[in-house]
Amino acid sequence: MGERIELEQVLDSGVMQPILDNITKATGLRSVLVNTRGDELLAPQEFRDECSFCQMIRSSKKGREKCQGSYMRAGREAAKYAEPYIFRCHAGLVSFAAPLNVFEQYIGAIICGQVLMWEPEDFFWIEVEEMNRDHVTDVDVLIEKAKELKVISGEKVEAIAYLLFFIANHLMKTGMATLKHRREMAEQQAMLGAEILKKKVLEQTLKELAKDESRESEADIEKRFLREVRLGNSFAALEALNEILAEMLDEYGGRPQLFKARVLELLVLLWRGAVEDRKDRDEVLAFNQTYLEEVSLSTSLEELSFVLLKTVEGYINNFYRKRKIKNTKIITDVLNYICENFDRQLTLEEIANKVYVSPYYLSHIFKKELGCTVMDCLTKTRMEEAKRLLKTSDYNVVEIAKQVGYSNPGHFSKVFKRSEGIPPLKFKANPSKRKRGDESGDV
Amino acid sequence: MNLVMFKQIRQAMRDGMTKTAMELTEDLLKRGVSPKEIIDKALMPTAYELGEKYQKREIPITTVLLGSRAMLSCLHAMKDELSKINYVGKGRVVVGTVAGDLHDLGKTLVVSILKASGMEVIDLGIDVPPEDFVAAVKEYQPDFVGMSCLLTTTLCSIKTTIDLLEQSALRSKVKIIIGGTPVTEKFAKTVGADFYAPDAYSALKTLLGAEGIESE
Repeated sequence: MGERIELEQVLDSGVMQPILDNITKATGLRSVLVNTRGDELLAPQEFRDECSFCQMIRSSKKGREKCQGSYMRAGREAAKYAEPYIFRCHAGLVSFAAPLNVFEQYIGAIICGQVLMWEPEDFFWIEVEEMNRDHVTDVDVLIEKAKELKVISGEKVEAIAYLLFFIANHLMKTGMATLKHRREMAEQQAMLGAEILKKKVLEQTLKELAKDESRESEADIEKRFLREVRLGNSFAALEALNEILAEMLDEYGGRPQLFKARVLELLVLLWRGAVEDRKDRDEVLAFNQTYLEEVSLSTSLEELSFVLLKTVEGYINNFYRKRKIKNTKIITDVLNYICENFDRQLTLEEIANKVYVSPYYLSHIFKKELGCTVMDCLTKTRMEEAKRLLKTSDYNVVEIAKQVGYSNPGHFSKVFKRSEGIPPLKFKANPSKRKRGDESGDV
Repeated sequence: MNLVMFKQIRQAMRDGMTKTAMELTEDLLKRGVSPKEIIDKALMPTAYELGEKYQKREIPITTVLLGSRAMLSCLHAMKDELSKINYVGKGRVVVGTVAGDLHDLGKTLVVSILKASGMEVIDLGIDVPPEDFVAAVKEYQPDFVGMSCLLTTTLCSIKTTIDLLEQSALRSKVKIIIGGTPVTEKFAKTVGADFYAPDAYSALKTLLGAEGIESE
């Protein structure tokens, strides 16, 4: 993924404003959102302006530049080390930055502080003078203003910095979900586009052959769709749904209200089907309720198509796949655990312990559901990460081996070669020899 | 008595007691103890200790920040003494890190002592590309260029920088000192540096020594 993600794509000020407001209320400290260049994008409502000390610093061009530079550097450092970054700004105050990273890309930071961690003593006045004399004309006034600065303990600074860090991480997870949602929608649109094109070609051919009757009728597609849903064949069901959507766009594309009505009609069909299949009526109703709300809120054709797709997936997962759900949970938990811990040594016993089943049973589930062993999955995850690092980072093979959980680089190279067909060094040096299906378009 | 006071300064640095550290330093100076001794016996080992403990995540960064302040206050107390050190002309040094951390106490100490002892220090900061070193040498005409790096992958940019200085006909005008974890003496010789410093403290000694103040 080469594109640059901007802060605004992931976070909207509606979410951010109350967070900044409340941090400020709870801690009494000013917290702001800055972009990668250190520009302040959003400030708390009750603390729009900086404290008088900072205002004085920022009243000169040079001071302002230094301030921005401090913030820019702090955000980047925080992102580099993936932890809250506590620092002394150019003017001598303590501040801290929590990085905002999406898909490992640094997009901005929350910065908070402008406090002292010590009761000002003589040496502090000396520091203030030394640090600020080249951009503040009247240092004595600045010192007077410094006397108003808040003093909090180092422990408290750490605590607030970590709190911000956790909030930032959580925000970015949600942000990632939003971004993923958009991408999924775009993917669906692309699939739909392909379907429409197919349909056009087909129609053209049919017209030419004048054999219109041989085509599967709309009603037939619908039946096929419902059948696949009930069989729990999600792939076939979604394929049929795409055909229906292509038809719908053709027919109602210019009339969104009717398009919506047709979406509702399909929802009702799904609902009836589920009730006929003696699924719990209340459960089906409650399930429908959530999607009905989403449909009524959606205005664009893209949104409506997407909600419909999600509903169908939901139906299949909730009502037609019940017997598998327990295992799905275990499998997902294991995959998550692997993703979070592949950088160290892992054993089947440890993983099985984490999901409260025996190693034997876990192996059994994996073989049955995924057709591979737990350790295969672990290796696969490690190799994917290794490939990513080889492609995008400056780390050498020894460092990469370590980062993906191999203490022995030789062993890592062997496993890599077995998995990818070429040794890691060659992979890094010569992208053209990478196995097929691995080239993400880079030349 | 002096030993006890060195110990107290070290404890004051660990506790971030700036005022205490500064007063103890002033006391020691009054007793005729040299700044060099205070740096060697109190500041340097503690700077090293705090840096290492932080690397191992044994202490929080706030402790390092407070310790750094206490250390700087001691250096401030010695300012007059340090400026009295007799140089063979006051030197000017351009320093930069190829990759590093702002929280590097060692570098802070070196830069502060150099500054306090009257040397003019131009700190180019971190992630400094070779072109910036060359530009800085042209602009400031320093006596020394100090370069450090932390990753093996950035080693070659030291060589690039030296080569670029050579091409710009500036190499003979400066003395180059290099250091950092992956740098070895052999490497320093290979790339044609004048001095090699295994750590921040020996960098300091070399720089001051080369200026003719190392009186041991």
